[in-house]
Amino acid sequence: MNLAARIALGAAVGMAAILLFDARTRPTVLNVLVERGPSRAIRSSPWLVENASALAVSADPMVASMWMQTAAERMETGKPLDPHENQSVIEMALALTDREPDNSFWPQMAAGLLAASGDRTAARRMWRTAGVRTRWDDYQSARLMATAALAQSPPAVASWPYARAYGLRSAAPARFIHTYGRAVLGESAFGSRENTIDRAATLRNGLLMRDGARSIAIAELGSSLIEAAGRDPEALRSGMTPRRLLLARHELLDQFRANGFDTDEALAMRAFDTNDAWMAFLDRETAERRVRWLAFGALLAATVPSALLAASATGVVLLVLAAGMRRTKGWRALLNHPWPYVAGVLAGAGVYAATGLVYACLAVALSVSALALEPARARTHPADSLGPAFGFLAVIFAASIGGFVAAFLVAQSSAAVELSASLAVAESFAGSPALLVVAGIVASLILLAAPIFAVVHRLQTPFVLERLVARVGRYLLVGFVAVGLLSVPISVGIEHRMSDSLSKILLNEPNYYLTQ
Amino acid sequence: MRPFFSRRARRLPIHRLSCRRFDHIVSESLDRPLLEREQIFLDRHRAVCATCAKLESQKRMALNMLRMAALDPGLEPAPPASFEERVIRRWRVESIRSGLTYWTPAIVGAAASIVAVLAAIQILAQSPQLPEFRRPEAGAKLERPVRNGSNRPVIPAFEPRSVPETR
Repeated sequence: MNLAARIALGAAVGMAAILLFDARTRPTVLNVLVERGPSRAIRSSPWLVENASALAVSADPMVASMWMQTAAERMETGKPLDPHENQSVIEMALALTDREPDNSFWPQMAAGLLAASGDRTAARRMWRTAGVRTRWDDYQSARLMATAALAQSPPAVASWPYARAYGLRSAAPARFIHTYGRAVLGESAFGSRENTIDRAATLRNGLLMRDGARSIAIAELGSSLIEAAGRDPEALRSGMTPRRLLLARHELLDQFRANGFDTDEALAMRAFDTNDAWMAFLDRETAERRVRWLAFGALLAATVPSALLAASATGVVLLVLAAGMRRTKGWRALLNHPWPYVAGVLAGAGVYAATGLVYACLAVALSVSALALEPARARTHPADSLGPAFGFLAVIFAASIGGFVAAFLVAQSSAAVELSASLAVAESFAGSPALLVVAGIVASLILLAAPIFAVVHRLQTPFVLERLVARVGRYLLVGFVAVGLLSVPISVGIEHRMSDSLSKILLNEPNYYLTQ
Repeated sequence: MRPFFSRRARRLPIHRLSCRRFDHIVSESLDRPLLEREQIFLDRHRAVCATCAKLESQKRMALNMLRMAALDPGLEPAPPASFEERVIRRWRVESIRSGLTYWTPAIVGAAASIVAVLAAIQILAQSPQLPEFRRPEAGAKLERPVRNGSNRPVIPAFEPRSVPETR
């Protein structure tokens, strides 16, 4: 071993040792080996509706928030609550209304639930109560932050749990409130005093929801509620234009003025002005696209270094295989006619049985059968080098095989399984061995390349095959270990920056964009 | 195993191979008569490779000296009894020393990489300004424990109160 090789070996060993020893980097090095399949932390979080088999009656706002979400989702999916369930959820909403006198979320939900149970008078009273409160909090951010915290292993930082938790936020309670808020406007004649009071309450509730929302989707519903307060549903049924909307707003302001609601008039003017700014400021699609990219980056940062390091084990397997081929000569008899053809048919049948893919089966069958090719007169003393094309081909094989194995390992990781829905990747793909099969198909092409080089250089096929397998294994081992080790500190740095952004987005998405 | 980064292997692959063969045949020539083609190879290689020719002559000279010493024990006084032990000890010390010298670059590389990685992590992994999460204190009180482990649908069913109250 020459000087450079010894320095490189020492550096690799030292780097691997310190990266495994340091608690900040250890999870990144071992990620795909330790965290596989669905995340235990996320799936066992007590703060997710998806994990609960049943919810207990509680005055805890976190638990009550889960009740409200479930009730809203059940109503959206057309599965109405039975009387006992309805009674329980209304009682909880009313209890939290008393317990948190400044939070408008609970009376808003109570209003919607009371209306759904047929008590319209109590519902309107509750809706007006909600309008005079000072904040709006559905406790989803708290629950999701608690869930993301469960998936962390300090002092290491993982950003993908924040991305996963972002996708778990439900806008169903806000939609439920929005639906009731629009419905209450049609319960009295437009222009009447009762209607004016309802409009003032709806505008205030919309404003509270928009300003208190922790996600853009919910804030948009609040914004929509503010606009709805200014419209006469009957008059606007024929169509909406900016001019009509402007006139409707002024009509509402006139109504407030005529009925002596000076405070509400000032509030409405401010709400309409800020609503325009709000709608111009953010759009949900751009924000969701940004989070999708951040989630993709979080997935790569969490899994790629460990996947590269684990994929380098394939190089060890190939090196051991090549050493075995060099030491034992008996296997060479298998390359005599007709065994390569028999092996080709069997391998092709095996691949077809595993994948059902005709082209993959043909590729493997032909590659294995190609081992029967050999030059008519092979050299007795082969040259030491097989040329630059041989080395280049070995690099391509090493990169492809290792790349597909690494991609397979990434797809099996907890981060990939959890984020597959957010990244619009089929969940079945995350758990399938398809990428490993592709790696196998690429590896089988070695059997095709070896006889071609054997014929070109007039060498025995087994000799070239052993050389090619050894070269691919060596490149794969050295290349993937080097890149894997170097990518760990970079990945840790990216994780910290991603965590910063994603956690702020999860905690308060509108505020994150406002402070950018 | 041939060195992965061997500069010599990359520069002189064929020459190195024939030198190795020359060395092998020279060793064989001490034990058996050579074939004609082997003798031809030795002559040709000796003519073009001065290093191999010099090594061969040194090897033969050393062998002759050993043979002479073996045939004529009166040439030199017999070595002391501890001579063999001292030679072995010296050989061990030399082998350890040479091993350490050989692996010193690797140790230096490891130390340098550890320092570099620690510095990089220190710079890159500075704690982000993660928002603090504090569970709200609202007199949380579970009146009934959450039931787990049953195979219920994903959307949880409510646990109805045993005595529904009317409001």
